Amino acid sequence: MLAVRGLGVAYGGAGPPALADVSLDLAAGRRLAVLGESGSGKSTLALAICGLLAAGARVSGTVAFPGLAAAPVLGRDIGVVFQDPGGSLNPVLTIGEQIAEVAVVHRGLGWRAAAAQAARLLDRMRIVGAQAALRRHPHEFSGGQRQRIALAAALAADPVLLVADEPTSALDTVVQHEMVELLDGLVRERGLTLLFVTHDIALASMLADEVAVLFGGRLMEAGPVGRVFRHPAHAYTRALLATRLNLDTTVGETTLGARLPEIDPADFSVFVPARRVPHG
Amino acid sequence: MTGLPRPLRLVLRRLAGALPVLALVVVGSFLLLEAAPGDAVDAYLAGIGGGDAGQMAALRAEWGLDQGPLPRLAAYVTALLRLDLGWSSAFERPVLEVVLERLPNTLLLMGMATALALSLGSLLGIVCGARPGSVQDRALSLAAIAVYATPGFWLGLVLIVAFSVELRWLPSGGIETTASGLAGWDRAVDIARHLVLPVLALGLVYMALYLRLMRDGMAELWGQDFVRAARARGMSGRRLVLRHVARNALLPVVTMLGLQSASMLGGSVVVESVFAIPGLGRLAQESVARRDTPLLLGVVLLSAVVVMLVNLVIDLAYALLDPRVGSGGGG
Amino acid sequence: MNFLRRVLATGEGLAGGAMLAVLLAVALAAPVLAPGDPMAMAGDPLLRPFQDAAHPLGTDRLGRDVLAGLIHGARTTLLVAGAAAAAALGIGITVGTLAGFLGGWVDEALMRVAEAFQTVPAFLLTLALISVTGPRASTIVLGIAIGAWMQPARITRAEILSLRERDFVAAARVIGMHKLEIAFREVLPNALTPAISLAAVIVAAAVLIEAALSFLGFGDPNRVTWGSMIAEGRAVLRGAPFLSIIPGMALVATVLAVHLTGRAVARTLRVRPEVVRPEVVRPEVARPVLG
Repeated sequence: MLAVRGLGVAYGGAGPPALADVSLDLAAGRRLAVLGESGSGKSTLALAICGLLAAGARVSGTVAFPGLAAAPVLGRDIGVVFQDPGGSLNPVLTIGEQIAEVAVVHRGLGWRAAAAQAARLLDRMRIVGAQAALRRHPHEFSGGQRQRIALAAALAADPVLLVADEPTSALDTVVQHEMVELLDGLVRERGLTLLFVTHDIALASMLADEVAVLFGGRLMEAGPVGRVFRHPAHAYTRALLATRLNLDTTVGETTLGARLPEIDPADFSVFVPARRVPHG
Repeated sequence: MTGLPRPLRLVLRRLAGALPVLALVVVGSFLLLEAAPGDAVDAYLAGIGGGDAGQMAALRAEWGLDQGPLPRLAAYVTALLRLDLGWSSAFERPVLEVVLERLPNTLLLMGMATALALSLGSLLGIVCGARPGSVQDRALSLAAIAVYATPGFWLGLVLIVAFSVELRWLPSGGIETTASGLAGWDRAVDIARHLVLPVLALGLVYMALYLRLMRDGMAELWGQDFVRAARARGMSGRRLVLRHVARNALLPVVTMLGLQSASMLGGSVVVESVFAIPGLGRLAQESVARRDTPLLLGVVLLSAVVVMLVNLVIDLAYALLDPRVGSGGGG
Repeated sequence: MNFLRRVLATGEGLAGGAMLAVLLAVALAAPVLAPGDPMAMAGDPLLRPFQDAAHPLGTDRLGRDVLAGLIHGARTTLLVAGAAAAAALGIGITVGTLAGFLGGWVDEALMRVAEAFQTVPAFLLTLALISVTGPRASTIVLGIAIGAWMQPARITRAEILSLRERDFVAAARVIGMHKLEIAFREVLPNALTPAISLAAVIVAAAVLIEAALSFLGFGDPNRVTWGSMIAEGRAVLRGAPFLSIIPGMALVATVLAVHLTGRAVARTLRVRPEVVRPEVVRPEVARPVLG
């Protein structure tokens, strides 16, 4: 589905690049977690794959979609969900309009049919009173609901790839759990390929088949999630996992109750060369 | 209160808030009336050719003007509530009559100027804002800045020189050809021809303002998250520019519309003078020139009412455009 | 000085600043550049511009020199506009501070008063004052000031409201400073910046209002102003349009200069956060070294 080769992204003149020489593959129907601390380049990677980088970004390398017949169209073949639920929706349009227009633009549906589909999507997203909700505006919903609405809009044109940039980071813990369940179910139902960016190791272990670990704009390690978390090959991955306490949860069978606290990026001061890493 | 529809609630709330403001304006105009030399009786008697001390005393007693300031204020307010704005010495008619006679012309002028400014300003603003930094953006923005710096009355004179004197396309003054006997459609066309230049003189400055507002608003919006999210859903081209970006940039423009209504009324004073249009603005000038303070204050009060009503309408329009307003304190 | 340099670094700041500097210089040097009374007859009437070296911009109906009128008019314009803006800012900032700091019914009352002033067009208000005192420069300054104080008041009040809860205010209270003292000595200096940026807008509006008033014949009759020159020229608009057009261009240039400078100052003052690049790599962290 997705083949990235030697991808590099740089902004402006001075300073190290945001992303350097990243290569990875993602097979159709699989789920990839792009894991890293803030500043690791994980969001840049997701945006680069979607073609949503800010103006002034210099891109090198290639992003190919061997699974698709033609170059992917954003919105139709790729659905994107962003981190900030408050910022994904146009405040002056109704949510019904915003979900429906995706189907109208990409799948040529009439407004009536698109609205009906939007209602069905909202229902699946567990928004109560979907039909009435179509006429409401984003500010009338909570953060968690808005994130689910954004997800509905991302899926309205029936894409094959779903890219999610930190989909749960801005949500409350309880709501996060619902979101994860929802994502899991949707991906399974629709046979989606999923690429999601996160700094939450527990989320990665719960939701992903494969994981790619980024640091400093470079790919440290990639592979099946079980293998990477149980037998990390790279020193960075080892240190990453080691900064968590209670390391005896089984990856792949993590119960929701045993969710570990997410890594505090400040912990990565262990990587100042003089310090030694605490033994795990 | 909560049972009523949102627009109605807004109207009632605004009306309730407007009363104290109106009261303050009334008190202010009363103070000005007091400060002016002479009083209503002097003006009246001057108009009818003078009178003796006895007459003056009698009239003062009758009009309650021989009492202290507070009773005089009460008399003033009661008169206002009866819609009695006093007597105009310059026109020798009740102020209310004179003022209401002139009001429609000013409303026509202002209405058309606002329509021009809003429509052309928004349109050109969207053209600029669709691609900030482009050639058309820079050229139009520069032109807008230059226009915004021009005084309305001077612009009017320049327009007269260009279109009336040199090109002889349009009339240079008045609101219609006097004693022409035109009626119906012909009269409307005649009035329209007379209004072209004044509307341009009054409206172009505000057009420049709305253009810049729309353009600046859009330029900022392009960086916003929800625009990126809309792009991520594949929205592009006209749909993105109009439905998503411009629609949001319209809000501050509408807000400014309300704030500028008072300023535009002030601007109509000079434009009506330049083009000899018999409206409220010109009336204000005449009343100062002829030392007719009650008439001037009548104009001031009426202007305040007009501004308040216009603001109310604009607020309603804004509430219709921005769903976040008035819904229980916002999301 | 650094601030000045930054303002001048922008295109707007440079253009506007240069024009303003020229204007100020002309206004200050008026008696030197155009000695004598600008309202006195200086030559033949209705000389066209660029005809006579002694009167480079021509003369009006009464033979008064247009260039001299322009130069002295610059003085009046800048004086009135400057004074009006200063007064408006003074009143506005004071009212805003009181409203923001004292809160409660004082705040309510003051804001209602502001609303009342905002409902009446500033121009009409000034006309009303003139009808009471007669045409005088001081009345014009007052009229413009009371028509323009509301915006600085609102902005100052908003700033005060946000600063009021800060630590240094609490500290001042603890030492026992009186409320008003805290307001004016501690909080106000920090709240001034946004109000100052309004200065340009008010000056520009003042220039236009003063010109309009002079045009209508309500300006100070003892001074020559660009507005009155335009009014003079109106009588001979068909034959000698330059008499009205030239002073108008001076007005446009002045207002433009003020606008551009104002925008440049506002932009420089505003702390625009740099567009944060999504992934900023910490340079001091290299590959991890583990024991």
